[in-house]
Amino acid sequence: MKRIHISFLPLLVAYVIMATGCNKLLEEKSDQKLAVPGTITDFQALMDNFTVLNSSEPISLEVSADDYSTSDADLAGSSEAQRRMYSWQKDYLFAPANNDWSTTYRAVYHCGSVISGLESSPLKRDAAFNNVMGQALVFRAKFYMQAMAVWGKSYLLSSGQDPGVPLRPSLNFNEATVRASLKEGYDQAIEGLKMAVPLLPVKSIHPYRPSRAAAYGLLARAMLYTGRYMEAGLYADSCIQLSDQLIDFNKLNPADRYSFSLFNSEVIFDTYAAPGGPVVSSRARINPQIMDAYQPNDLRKTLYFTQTNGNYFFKGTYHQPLLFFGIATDEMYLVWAECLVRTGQVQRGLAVLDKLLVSRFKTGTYSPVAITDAKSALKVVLDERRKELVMRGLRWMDLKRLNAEGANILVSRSFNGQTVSLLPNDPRYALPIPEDIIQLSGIPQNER
Amino acid sequence: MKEMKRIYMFMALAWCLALSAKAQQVVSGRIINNKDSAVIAYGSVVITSSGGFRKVVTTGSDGYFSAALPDGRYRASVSSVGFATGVLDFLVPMKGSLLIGLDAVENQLEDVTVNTGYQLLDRTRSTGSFSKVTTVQLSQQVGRNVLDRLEAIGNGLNVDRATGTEGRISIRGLSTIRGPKEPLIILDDFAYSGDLGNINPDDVESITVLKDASAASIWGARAGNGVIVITTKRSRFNAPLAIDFSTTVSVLDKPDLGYEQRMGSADFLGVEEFLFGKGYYTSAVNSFYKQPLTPFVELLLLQSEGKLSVQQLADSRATFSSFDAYDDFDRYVYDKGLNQQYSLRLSGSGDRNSWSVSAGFNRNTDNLGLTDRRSTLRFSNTFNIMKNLQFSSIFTYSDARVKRGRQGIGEIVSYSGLYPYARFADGAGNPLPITKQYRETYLSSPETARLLDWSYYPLLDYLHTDNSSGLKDLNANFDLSYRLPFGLKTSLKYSIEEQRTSSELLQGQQAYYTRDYINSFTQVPASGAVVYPVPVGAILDSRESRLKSEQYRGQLEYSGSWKEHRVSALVGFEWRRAVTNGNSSRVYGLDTDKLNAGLVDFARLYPNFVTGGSSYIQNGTSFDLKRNNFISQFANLAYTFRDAYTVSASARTDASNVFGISTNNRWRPLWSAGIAWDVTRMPFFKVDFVDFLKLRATYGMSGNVDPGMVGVSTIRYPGISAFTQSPYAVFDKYSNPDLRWEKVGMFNAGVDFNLWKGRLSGSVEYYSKQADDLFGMFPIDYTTGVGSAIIKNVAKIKGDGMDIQLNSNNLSGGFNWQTTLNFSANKDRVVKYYVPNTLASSFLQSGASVSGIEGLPVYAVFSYKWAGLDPLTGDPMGFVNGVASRDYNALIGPATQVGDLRYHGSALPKYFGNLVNNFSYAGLTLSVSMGFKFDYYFRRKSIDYTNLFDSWNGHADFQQRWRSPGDELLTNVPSLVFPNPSARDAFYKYAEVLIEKGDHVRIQYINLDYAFEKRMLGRLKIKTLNLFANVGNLGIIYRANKKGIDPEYITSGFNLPPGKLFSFGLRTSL
Repeated sequence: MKRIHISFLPLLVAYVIMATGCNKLLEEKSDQKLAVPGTITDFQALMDNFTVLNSSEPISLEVSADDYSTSDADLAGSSEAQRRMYSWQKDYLFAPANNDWSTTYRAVYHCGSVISGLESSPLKRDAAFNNVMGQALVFRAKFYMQAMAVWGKSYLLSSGQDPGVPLRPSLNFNEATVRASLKEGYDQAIEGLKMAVPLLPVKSIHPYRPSRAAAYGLLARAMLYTGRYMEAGLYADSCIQLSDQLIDFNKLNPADRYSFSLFNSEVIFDTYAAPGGPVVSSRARINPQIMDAYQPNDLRKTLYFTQTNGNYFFKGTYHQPLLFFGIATDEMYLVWAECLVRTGQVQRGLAVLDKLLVSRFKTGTYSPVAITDAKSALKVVLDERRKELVMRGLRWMDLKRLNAEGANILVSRSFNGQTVSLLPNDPRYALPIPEDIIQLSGIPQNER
Repeated sequence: MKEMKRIYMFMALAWCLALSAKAQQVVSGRIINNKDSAVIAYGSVVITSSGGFRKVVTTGSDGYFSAALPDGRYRASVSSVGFATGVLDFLVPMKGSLLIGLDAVENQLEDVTVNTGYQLLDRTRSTGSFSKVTTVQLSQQVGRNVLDRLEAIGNGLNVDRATGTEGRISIRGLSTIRGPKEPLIILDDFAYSGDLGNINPDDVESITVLKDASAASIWGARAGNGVIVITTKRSRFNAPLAIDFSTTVSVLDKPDLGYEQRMGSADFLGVEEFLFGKGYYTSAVNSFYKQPLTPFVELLLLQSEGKLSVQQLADSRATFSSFDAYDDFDRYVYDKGLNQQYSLRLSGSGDRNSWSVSAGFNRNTDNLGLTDRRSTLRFSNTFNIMKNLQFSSIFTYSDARVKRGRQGIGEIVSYSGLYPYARFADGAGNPLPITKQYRETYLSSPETARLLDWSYYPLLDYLHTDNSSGLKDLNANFDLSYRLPFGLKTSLKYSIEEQRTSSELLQGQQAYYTRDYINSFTQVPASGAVVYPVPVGAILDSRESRLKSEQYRGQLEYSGSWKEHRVSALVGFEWRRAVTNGNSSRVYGLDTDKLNAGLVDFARLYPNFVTGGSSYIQNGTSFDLKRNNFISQFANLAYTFRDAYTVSASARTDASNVFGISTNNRWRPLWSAGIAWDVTRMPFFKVDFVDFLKLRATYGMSGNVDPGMVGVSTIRYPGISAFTQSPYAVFDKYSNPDLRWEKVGMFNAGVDFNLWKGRLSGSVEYYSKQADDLFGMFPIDYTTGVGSAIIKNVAKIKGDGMDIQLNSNNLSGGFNWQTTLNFSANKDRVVKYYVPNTLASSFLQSGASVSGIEGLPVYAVFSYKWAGLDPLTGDPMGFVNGVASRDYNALIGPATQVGDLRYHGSALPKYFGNLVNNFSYAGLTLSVSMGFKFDYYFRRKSIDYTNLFDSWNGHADFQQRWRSPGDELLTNVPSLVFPNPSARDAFYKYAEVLIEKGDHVRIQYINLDYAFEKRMLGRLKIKTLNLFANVGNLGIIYRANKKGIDPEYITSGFNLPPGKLFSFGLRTSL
């Protein structure tokens, strides 16, 4: 009997090892780089994923707009979807699965996860917590607004009653997608931005992270697009109060391949898009209307563009070598000026414009605008907006909102011997939702 | 119930006998093979006395048996399959133990036992499906990796080269769509996940393929795709010192580079001229990125600017058309390869221990001068410490080193591809530069004068690059087993492995990569010194990783028999922990002489010299740590009645440390059951020519868990953002709580037979598999933000097939002729697939892809229906709503549904196998193995204009293109047009005219072996001496396609059939 006991011993020992080690063994992480988000570091790390958040601006805003045109040969070198988008076709403007819609909603999910993860966490509601929460709210609001700029009509046409974009408040992918109205979309964006303002630090450690100034800047855009000019002006002013730097263009060298350094002093919130197809810098020939509008001493003409064979190509991006779509001080001066003029404070508005333009002209050559009637002043401000904010992803939305007010801007393009035009307020200003999304989700397509 | 009573009674009886009876003695003995003194496991010993006493015992795996016997005179009749019955008379009481030698019976089933990795099974009583390959069969082939040899000789397995470039062993078709499809590899008792190249093929004794559910259930969830058990050689007890030596030298021919069917230079120049005329290069010429132009386009540009005469252009064109980059590859880059292999093994044993030591050395040089050295050392030892206590150990050490050679096809590239008239050397063989990333005019301009030379010499670059990797692996297996009373045995196995791998990529300062990297960061001020943010010097990337794994297995076995009953049972558990940690680093500005490294600032943005865009210097430092833990419990039971009826059952459950998975999803039991009936053991069976006939059947369930079955969303930290200088995170897995396990049920029925005393033997098996709840990517509305598809339980597939193995001795006597045929049929079809997507384009992908159409094979080949070429334009045409159309957006867009496509058949062969013939006369043996695959389809490559324009990859079909009306009657190759809609290429690429039948027969190898006669060797004190010659990769002897395409080498990219391999060698034992 004793022998039996001894011989069973190794087996017994082994069983003990297994029984004790079993659960510990199964709980060990399979990869040390994995985590279930729970700490403030985890949430901040998700918000520092610049590929998902900062680099995912919808390039369709610029492909569709009239800042440029391209040659037939270069158009032929673009993808089918880009060619259709360039020529304002009714459908198939987006390749399936990987397009502006997918990158937009990937980011919306990303921000939503952080917001709900923070809300349900037992973490202390301290400055770091507030900062991350604010960042997620700002990013999500920005993506809602850009999506409405691509796939929605102007808010002003129906006081926001037209269909907007899905908001995906739930993170459960089994829940069906529904389209919210433009009003619901802007309300949601504005509410998020207002919540973010007190949570965020005045300045962030890097322009990739949203700051309070960024929240004000986006609020100014949202109010401008929804026709609330008084508020838009105030928010632009609030933004400028936090960040008012303007670059003196006289200090820049037109011979540089890119005139502006990354993260320069005007950048408040850095988001960008990768140009593709016809908007690639060597293909996109800048609209001669814009080129002709610069006055001789305007430094933007040489700093923003290079000239090859009589055509101008853009090199004035604030996020070289890609296209800057983020919030910068110059845009805020222009919003503030526009809103002051629109709300009857013409002289004050023009003074704000002067402040911007003096930095854009050769030293000593700028003479302040001397106009008194509101209508002409507005035209001056809008013309300057066109000249200042080239290839910033803003023109497409400007076309919509200005046409909604009756500006009657007709845009047209010629290629392969034909000319196509887009009438003011044409339904095609709201781009078609990717066809595969319509098929998979059953949400209604935009009016075609 | 009656049986149960008997068992209890026997146990009680044994107990009493063991403890009390004084007039008894426990007699022990051992059965060995008379020929080589090897022990015979699982023999049957019938002990009888004239007084009517009768007792049946079985020997264990070590050949021992014991029985408690009262005093008296006895006779032991010993039988074992493959041996003639041996008889020994003895007296009790006695001193010492019995030793009974048996003589092997010729022409019996050769392989008596099969190793499942857990236990040795007697083949005649097993219920499962096994196929075994022996040393002799394996030694007819040469090569570094032992598993590569299975294709030419194995049964029921196919090497699938259709769904990926790397051949993948597939046993009995698919049982999952998304999960891992590789079989589980077992090396001497334990699952092996290392590199099979670490195993010296000469150390392998046999390979057993476990094909059915009874195999899977004992190995758990990872065995759903079959199990391959590799057993290494061990020494036997009481055998004299033996020395074995073998060596092989092989020469590897150059591959046939013409197989690619590339477009010729003259045609390519024509296309460039055509595109130039259309203004295609304008944006490249204007590019801010100094995008390069090919040499001919540069000349066209000069000519258009009036700087070159028409005649000069024509002359250059004539010169360019005489160049062919593939000729240069053949002349300067590809060369014959050489492989050498040596192996030495010593073994010996005494009464109580046995040992063997073996050493192997391999040195391979491939067609590109890559060298691969491997040394292996192996030491195995078995001690009988006490009568019932045995300890054995195996230590293996392997050291391998690989050093990369020249850059081959696909590695030497110009800008977006390689233009066909690229020239690597002048007429005298002096290396020449080719166009790389920037325009020649830019590189020779004063702008770049102060930079390092920016030219690229394809034939010199590898000289400045040292890319090598090393692997050191130390593995120790220990096995302690103790025989308990009552036929019980307990064993504890422990295995520990430590593997270190290191790789280094040293790109010297002269290497193109290094010069390019330094230049792109260099800042050249108008005056003053050049600034190098990336210091001048070599760039060294290195990576080290260390794997440490430990495995325990505890096992309790019972094996016993009484009267007409035999029981063997096994319970146990297994525990594994494997930790891999690694680190990578990159050093700039390395002075390889003084070993000083340069300093760089990773956190600062620098403008690119050419584009002006800002970027950070790449920081190559990273660390990783991964763990792979595993626990399982298992049990196995087999009962045999009268050596004729066997029932078996096994069960297993296991769990692993998949991150984020909920606990109740971890464990899942798998089981199997089987029966077998040896007809020849029946008293009524009296058929002369049938020596052995067994019927058997099994059924079992296995499963598969997907790592995506997480209950919570998880994130991953890939590194530090250089911008915010903080760690950033990405979502790794999205919470997907609805997922269930995959379930696979498998039925197997077979018959094993041996007729006319071994003239014809083999097995015929039928199996069917039903796999349910299979994981698949389910397209979802990507507004949800989690991507365009998620994993769901979407599919149900059914597969069935047959495996036939026939061995025949066609001629024997002076001239011997043996044939082995392995023939398999495998058919699978999708029963259900819950994917709403019916878009035709999703079913057409360049490789073989999962189609998921109910009623069709899992990997099905579809194509667009073809309406011919347009007689006016040469545009390819398909059908839209039944009408011939050139509307490509409709043809490849949502307007075309899968129902509009033409279905050809399976992308995987339905019938496959091999045929091995051995002819021998005197000492000379000639073996020829042929492999065949039938009834499947593949898509061949043709001209893709988008690819031609953008990446300079043309196809010889361009010659056959439509040029003028009337050509559409002779050709299916579309015309050259610009602008070229990519949809037009996409339509043609997947049109039915490019589908070919894959059926083919190839010669796998021919081996000629001469064994010297024993009497000649006797004087030299040599036991055996064989000389052999072998040819491998002999190529195809029949193919269904008329284009000269090898259907095994069709995947995109540069996938050339390997050159022929000629080998010579000798094997001897002293």
